[in-house]
Amino acid sequence: MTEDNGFKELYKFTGFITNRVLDGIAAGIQDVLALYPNTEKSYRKIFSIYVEIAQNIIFYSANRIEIPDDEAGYGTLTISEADGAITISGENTITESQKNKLSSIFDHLDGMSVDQIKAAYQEKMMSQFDDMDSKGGGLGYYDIARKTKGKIQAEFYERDGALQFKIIATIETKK
Amino acid sequence: MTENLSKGSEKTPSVDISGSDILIAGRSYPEDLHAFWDDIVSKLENKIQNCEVNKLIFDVSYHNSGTTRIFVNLLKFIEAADAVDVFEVIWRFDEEDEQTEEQGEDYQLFCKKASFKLESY
Repeated sequence: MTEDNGFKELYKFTGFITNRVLDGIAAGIQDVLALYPNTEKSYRKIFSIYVEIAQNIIFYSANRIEIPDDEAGYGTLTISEADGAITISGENTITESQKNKLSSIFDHLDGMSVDQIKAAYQEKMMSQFDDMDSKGGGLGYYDIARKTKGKIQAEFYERDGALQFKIIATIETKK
Repeated sequence: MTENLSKGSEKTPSVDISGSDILIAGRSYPEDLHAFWDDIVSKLENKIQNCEVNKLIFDVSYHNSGTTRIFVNLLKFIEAADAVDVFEVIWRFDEEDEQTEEQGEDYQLFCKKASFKLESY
């Protein structure tokens, strides 16, 4: 565990993330967060955001390998705690086409109030999902925005000539 | 007599048909969404269409956004079914689980003709 200015890194995994990796970290999160009593009420939200972000890397990272009976997407998952809040971030390579879709979602969410995010989530849910390449049709990002009450950020940048996407979601856990 | 369509696991819910009731219980964030759900949904839709079932009970403590798409499509199918007027959907949630309660409220928006009840425990 590293600590910098009160920012405690609880988990950091970089590599090919598979469903078995997701399971292992999920079990660890449950055990480690039990040490932070203020996370008890928000544990379900933390878990669900973690699963959404981890599965996005597994299913959609543009840097992937074929393995038998599972999927493997390369990326970085980080879970940290600071001042009563848990931050979950995910980072992976994306294609230009994925960047356009993600930019559109985050531009839409940018600056929305909590009520506006709820309405946008419900509107997205009610509409026909039009992206058949996506399992959730982008709904997962609206869901994370709703659960974090808008404390969600997206960053796009280039590394070694490849487009990268980073999502940072923060859950306030203070009672 | 109970027909079991899925036994359930850490990542997948159990799905049972008991008499005219469908019960979906547990967690749903399968490794392969369509491999798990497509066949089950097809069987459920067939039974709904043939009026063999008239109640759908969700007792799901966590599901991912991919599963939301499956549930939404199932509710839309019920709304379009001939026997929708006598169909009942029940969404169960732990009274301390605000997240699952909110999700139930969202699904309620889809049920204009079918009865939809939120039940806490």
